Order: sequence, then C-alpha cells, then structure tokens
Amino acid sequence: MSDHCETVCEIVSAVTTGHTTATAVLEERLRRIATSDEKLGCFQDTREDTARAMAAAVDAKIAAGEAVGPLAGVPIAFKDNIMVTGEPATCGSRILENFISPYDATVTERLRDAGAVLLGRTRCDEFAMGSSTEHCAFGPVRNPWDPDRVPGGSSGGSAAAVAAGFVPCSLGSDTGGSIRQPAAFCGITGLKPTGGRVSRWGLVSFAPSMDQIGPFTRTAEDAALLLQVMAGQDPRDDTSASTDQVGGVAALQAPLEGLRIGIPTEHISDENDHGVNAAVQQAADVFRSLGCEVKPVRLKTTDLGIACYYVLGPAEASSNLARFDGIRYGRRADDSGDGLEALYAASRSEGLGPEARRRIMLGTYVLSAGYYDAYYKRALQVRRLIHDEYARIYSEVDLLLGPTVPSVAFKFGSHADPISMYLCDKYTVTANIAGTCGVSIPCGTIDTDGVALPVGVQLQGPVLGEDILLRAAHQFQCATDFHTAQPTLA
Amino acid sequence: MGTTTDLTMQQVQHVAALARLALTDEEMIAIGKDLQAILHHVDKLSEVDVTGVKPLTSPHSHCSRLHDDMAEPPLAAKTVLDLAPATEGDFIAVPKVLTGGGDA
Repeated sequence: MSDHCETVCEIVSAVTTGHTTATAVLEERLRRIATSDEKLGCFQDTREDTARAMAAAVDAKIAAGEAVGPLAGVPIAFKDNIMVTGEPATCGSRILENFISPYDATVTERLRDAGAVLLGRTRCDEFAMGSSTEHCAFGPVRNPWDPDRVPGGSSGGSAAAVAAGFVPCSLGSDTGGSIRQPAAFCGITGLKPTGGRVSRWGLVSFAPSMDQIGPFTRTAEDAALLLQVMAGQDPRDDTSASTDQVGGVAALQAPLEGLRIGIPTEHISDENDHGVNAAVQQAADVFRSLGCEVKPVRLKTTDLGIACYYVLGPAEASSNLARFDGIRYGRRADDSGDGLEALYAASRSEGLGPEARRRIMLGTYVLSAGYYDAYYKRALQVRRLIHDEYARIYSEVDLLLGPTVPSVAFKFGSHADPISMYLCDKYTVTANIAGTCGVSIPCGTIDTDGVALPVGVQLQGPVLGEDILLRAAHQFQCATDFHTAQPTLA
Repeated sequence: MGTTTDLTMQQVQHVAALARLALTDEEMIAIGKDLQAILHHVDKLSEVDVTGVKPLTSPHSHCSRLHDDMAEPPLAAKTVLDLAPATEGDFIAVPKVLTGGGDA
C-alpha cells in the first residue's frame, strides 16, 4: 500500500480519488493486526467479515459514482464499552462476557453513515476504571514502544492500536483522563471533547457527569474530522450539546498569532518525571514561535482534583453499576437457593474484578447514610470551585498547556498501590470535573532504561472550545514532526 | 468531614451488603485497607473552605434540557428476553423473591 495512507485524511483522499480502495486499505490493516497483535493484545475482537462487507460497500458506491461520506473507507476500532448492534460489548468485564448489544451507540450510527469501516473492539480496563489497561478481565494490552510497559488506560487498546498502525483512528472514552493519558503514553493524539459535545447514548455508563467519547488519531486534523462527524445534539442524550456543529478541518487553518496560552505553575511540578517539564517548555517555545503569548498562570485547585474525582466518580459508578445484577442481562451465578438478594451478590462478586469492586465499595460508602454530606456533597462543592476557577482562567487565556501525565509509560505491576495509579490522572481529571475539553499531543521522547518513550503535552480549552484547541494542536503539528514518530514492532 | 477514622470490619461488611457484593473475609480486609488509604487522600477536601458554595452536580448546564414527552418504539420483547440469562416463556426467570411468612 502507498506510504501516503497512514492518516485518516490521507485515506479518505486516496479512496475517494481512486488511488486506492477501501478494501485495499482494510486488508493492509488486517495484515498488520494478524502479524503483530498477538504480542500487543490491543483487540478483544476483530470483525473481519462485516468489515470487508462495509469496505466493499464503500468501493461499490465509488465505482457507481455515488456520493460517499466524509470517512469513506476509514478503518476504525472501538473501545469495548461502545455499543455496535449484534456485537459484544464486554467493557473488559466477565460480567458482560456474553452480552450482545441490542442497538447501536449514536457514535456508531454516525460513523457508519460517514462511511467508516468498523474493524473491531479494543481492550480496556474493566468498566473504564484504570490508567494502565492491566485491569481488563481478558488480558492486558502492551505498549508498542516497549512491550514491558503499559499503554496507559483505560482506553489502552484503542491507543496502542493507533500507535502500532493497526488502525488510523479509534474511539475511547475519557472520564478522568482515559483518552489523553494513553495517547500520551503511546505517542499519539487523543481528544477529550467538552462534556456533552458527543452523545453518550450507547456508551456503557461509568460516571455520566464526566464520561465523554473521543477519538485517538495520529494528527489533530484527523481528530477534527472525526469530531465533526460524531458531535451534535442527540434526542437520546439530554446532556448532548445543542450548540452548532464544530468547524472540522476547515477551522484549523488560521494562524495562532496573538493566542494566549497559560501554563499552570501547579503542573510544572518537581514530582514529574525527569524530562517531562523540559518537554513542556520546548512545546511552549514552539507556540511562542507561532506568535502565541505564553505565560504562567495559577490553577490552585489542581491538587484537589484526584480527591474530588475519587468521591464523585465512584459515587456515580456505584449507582450505575448497580444494574449489573445477573437478572436482565450479563452473567448470572448458579442459584444457591438462598433467594434473589443472594443471587445478586453472587453474580456481582463472580463477575466484577478488583478495581470495579473497589470503586463500587468506595462509592457506596460515600453515598451511605451519615457520610453523604461529609463526602459527596463536599466534593460537589469543591467541584464548583474547580469549575469556577477554570471559567475565570479562560477569561484571561484562550488555552492551557502542561504535561498530560506526570510520567512516561510505566512497567507492568509498578503501580499496584491504587493511589499511585490514581495520581497518573492528576493533570487530566479536572477537565472532566469542570466539563471542559482537552487534547494530548506528542511532544518528543524521553530515554528511559535505554528506550525512547513518548511524552505528551496536554492542551486544555474551555467548554465547547474544540475549534481553537484543535487549531493550536494542528498548527503545532505543522511546525513539528513529533507526531510522525512510530514504534518499531518486534 | 474531619480526618477519617479507622473503618471497622463491621462498616466494611455493611457497605458490601449495601453494594450487593459477597466478599470473603480476606477480600473484606484487603478492600477495607484500600478504602482507608483512598479516604485518607480524600480527606484533603475537608481542608477547603466551602462556606456558601453551591454543590455542582453536573457541568452539563450548557446543554441539559427536558425531553419531549413522546412515545418512541421500544426494543422488541424478544430482543430483551434474548439478553436475559434465564427465561420462562415470555418472562425473565428469577429465584423466589418472598421467603417465609407466606402461605405459598
């Protein structure tokens, strides 16, 4: 296949102009998966037959001179918590091992209509709870840059699949950093849109006030194209944004002259890995050279993010995951004869893994009588403070810049203590708490134990600020080539 | 909120019962330890002055709206029943809900 078919935009252009076919693009990706995914474990499942049929349908339309959608012939992988009619959606959990989605998620419908080829489902931490994809009941995913290290999480399979070149784009969900953090660890672009920008209908809920679907891509331009296809109001999700569509690729071209970018001093911490702060400063210099005004700002609530998140997230999760009781769908334990309540407990205990249980227990505790005001209500008040601080900052600067994660990808088993795992998300959770948007883009590598590991910077923007956010990311990528680096697969 | 006091085993058992989780004693001890450590971290919220601050349940205020009160076609009964782990005819089968006291 042509070397010019690596990005989404390149594929659409090559397919629609007849330089290649959707079928040829798909076969090349299936070949790469067959060769290398056994080692990495990105995919829970590939759907080769239906993918071939979708690619053939795109080719037939083009041959007949019919109009095709904006993602014609683009192979895409889905995180295994997004529903596709007739396909499993395990969420990385034994409790949903045999569940078959009875309907399409809204994003699935919109991507189908746009001509994308749904290639398969990727592994994730159970119910999207984790930062390493070690908590997937069906096996971990390995980082394509160093298989001894995690790809990040929870959308680790989706991130690693793009980094490895198995797909040009994939979908993840981000509740506290689950798109941006693995994008940083895998050296690709990962966008968490504004809360409400993309319909959550058909995404298995974890914490609905923070969950958001978003794309993994090689470039910000591709992210803009995918967002344009997926965004917009959905009558089935009453929290989906009623504002106009995003501007897509056309909105990325204007120069950045005069753009105000703030670097939160709280993000340039001595606790970050060696090299992370320097990478952020280098990125800041690139933005300065593009005419931006870059200055330090204070984001004083940064340090409260994880504490606030580990009340709100588990509280919402404990309520949402109550639906998995072994009765209407999902795994049911053998009936012990001790009645319905015992069956609920047995099914849940058999089906749910350690991290999901931990969060359910924590959420149940903070919502229980006597603790609700002390924990849940107080966390909601702190959420207001975080939200208001962001709102104030975005009246002073257009975007924020900082490290996506305090470290590079870590080794399997090195974050066995839950708190140390949770702190991976300290720079990303606040955007979920406040409902704002953010994107992680590659900004270089750091030599670690003899391996060059990718490091990501996070650009953050205000509510519904994706156009300016992606414009800055795109202009950065036009001026640099960090995003073109690819791992060599063993 | 103050500093978290030590969670007792009874508290952990109570929460597990509320959460409909059947945990072994070993699992209770391990999860109790984890909860204790996480709650200790969460305690930093108690240091924040939140006097007069209104709780923010969701940041979706820019788009939340009421749903039109219109009937939509539901999933077919067969589709729903096919998802259930156990059925009897057109019903989802469950163990006996009422135990004792009845005349059944």
